Amino acid sequence: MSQQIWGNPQGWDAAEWQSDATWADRFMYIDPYFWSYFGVALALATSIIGASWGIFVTGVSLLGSTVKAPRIRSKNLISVIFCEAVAIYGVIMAIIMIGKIGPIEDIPTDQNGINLCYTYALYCGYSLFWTGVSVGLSNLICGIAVGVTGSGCAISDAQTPETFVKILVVEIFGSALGLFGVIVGIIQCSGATFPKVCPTS
Amino acid sequence: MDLCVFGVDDGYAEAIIRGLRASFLTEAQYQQMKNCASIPELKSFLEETDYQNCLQADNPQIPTSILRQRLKKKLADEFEYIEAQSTGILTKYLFHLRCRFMIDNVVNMIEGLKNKIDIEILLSNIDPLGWFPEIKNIKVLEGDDYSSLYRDVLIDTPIGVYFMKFLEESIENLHENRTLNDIQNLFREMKPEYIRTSLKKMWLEDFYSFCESELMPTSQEALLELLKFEADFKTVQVIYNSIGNRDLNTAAKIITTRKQLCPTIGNLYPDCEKVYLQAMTLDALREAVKGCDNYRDLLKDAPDPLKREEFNVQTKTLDDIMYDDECRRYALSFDGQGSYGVFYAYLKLKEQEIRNIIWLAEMISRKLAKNHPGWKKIIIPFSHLGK
Repeated sequence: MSQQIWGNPQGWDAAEWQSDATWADRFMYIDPYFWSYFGVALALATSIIGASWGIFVTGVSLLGSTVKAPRIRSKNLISVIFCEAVAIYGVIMAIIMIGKIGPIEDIPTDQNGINLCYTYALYCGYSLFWTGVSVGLSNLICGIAVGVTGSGCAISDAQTPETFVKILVVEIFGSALGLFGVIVGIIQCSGATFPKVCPTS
Repeated sequence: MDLCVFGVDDGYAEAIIRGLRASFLTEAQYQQMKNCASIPELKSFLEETDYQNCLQADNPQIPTSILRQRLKKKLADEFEYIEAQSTGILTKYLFHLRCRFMIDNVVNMIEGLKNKIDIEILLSNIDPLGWFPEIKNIKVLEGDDYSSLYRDVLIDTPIGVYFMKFLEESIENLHENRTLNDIQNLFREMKPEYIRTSLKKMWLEDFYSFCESELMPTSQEALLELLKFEADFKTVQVIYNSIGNRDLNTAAKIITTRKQLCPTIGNLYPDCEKVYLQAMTLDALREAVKGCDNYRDLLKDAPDPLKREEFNVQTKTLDDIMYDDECRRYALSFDGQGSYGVFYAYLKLKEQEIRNIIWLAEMISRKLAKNHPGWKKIIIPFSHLGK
């Protein structure tokens, strides 16, 4: 019985859902676990899209320039490492977020208790979803930025060795963007652990 | 957004060009070459630069023509590699670039066949950048029938479309009661330079429209400017060479020739066309181009074409001045990433370098004194960047 009225603050039955519910009600009815797992997927997947975009853009230029200027091989792998770091940020955030998700052990039987529990769960779910969005999008753009700069770095290093260190500074600033996303994300999801036991007030 | 997705298809090819850019000879190396006392010394110097592998098999006293063939073969091999690594639009673009060399080859072959030179010798002298499989089929059919040569054989070549247009234009220019004999005579007596300039003009216009329609904005930005400048360069050259030219004795002939040979793209084209078509002296030419760019400054020092007989090796001709400016622009086009302009600029600058090396080889083999003005006649790529 309790599963049927989880997320159902007015205690409606099926017919009342059809006739009286608004869009806001239906939106609230989406399970918090859906939001939280979606957030985990976003954080992980978009960070990795950004990192891989960066790696392919920089890898192509690195390979081409090395054909004629083999000395740049080892130094320019740093650009690839910077892009990889962006993917690692995504993995770290995903692991932290998964640690905060867990089943609720005993859901109370009265409607009031269920509503309290559901509200708290919604808070955790939304928090994890938007953490995923903020971390994922910032890592996506950061990966692209580091990648494009890295490709320029490989090319100009092949031509003029003195420019390598200067362009590396630009890449470091670029990879700081991903770090901002991670820092804000950690703070955002810090209090969002799904409760084991429902709060009573 | 061009830069984010450029690397997918074309990043590798561009990066190879960037690496090859570092292989250009520097000013210091040119100085060392000038100080070489003989051809074997020059050859051993070249073997220490990027040209090492292509000269190893020859004996030290290498004749200049063989030297040129080897250097060009190296350039052609590199370009073939890049073309093989490219995909999609870049392959079409690189093929289009090579059509210019094909035009040169075909015109040379036709001229050689007219003068009854053996076809094997002609085939060994073609520019390797402009090689295409159908070039072996070019031979004159019986009766010296050049128009059928144009119609049947050259149509199959990649540059056949330019020859068709050229045929139509030339036949149009004949008078009304033309006979087959007239057409035959026309092609037999046509000057090879005229054919070459016409075809290259058509190629340039075709290339320009290809760039305008198919390339990304970053590439267009660099390339369209370079092509416009080259078209203007050709226009100014044609007009300059037709002033006081002995073969063009009537004003009407001058104007039709100019109209046929001047490209219809470029900064000078629609605006200054009437004025430059009528220009009969150098000052009139300067007046005609004064609105554009820095052309006026370039023409300021040009020698007067009416005094052509007085030119010697010391005069800085119009060609020299304009080549200098062209090289500066090509060097500048290397400054942007993600554009196809670098392929074009690389080809042109490498050709210039090969010309420089061959010029120096000639100077060395004639053992001219070091204060001869010919030593200064080379234009060094990238020298404008102050490196």
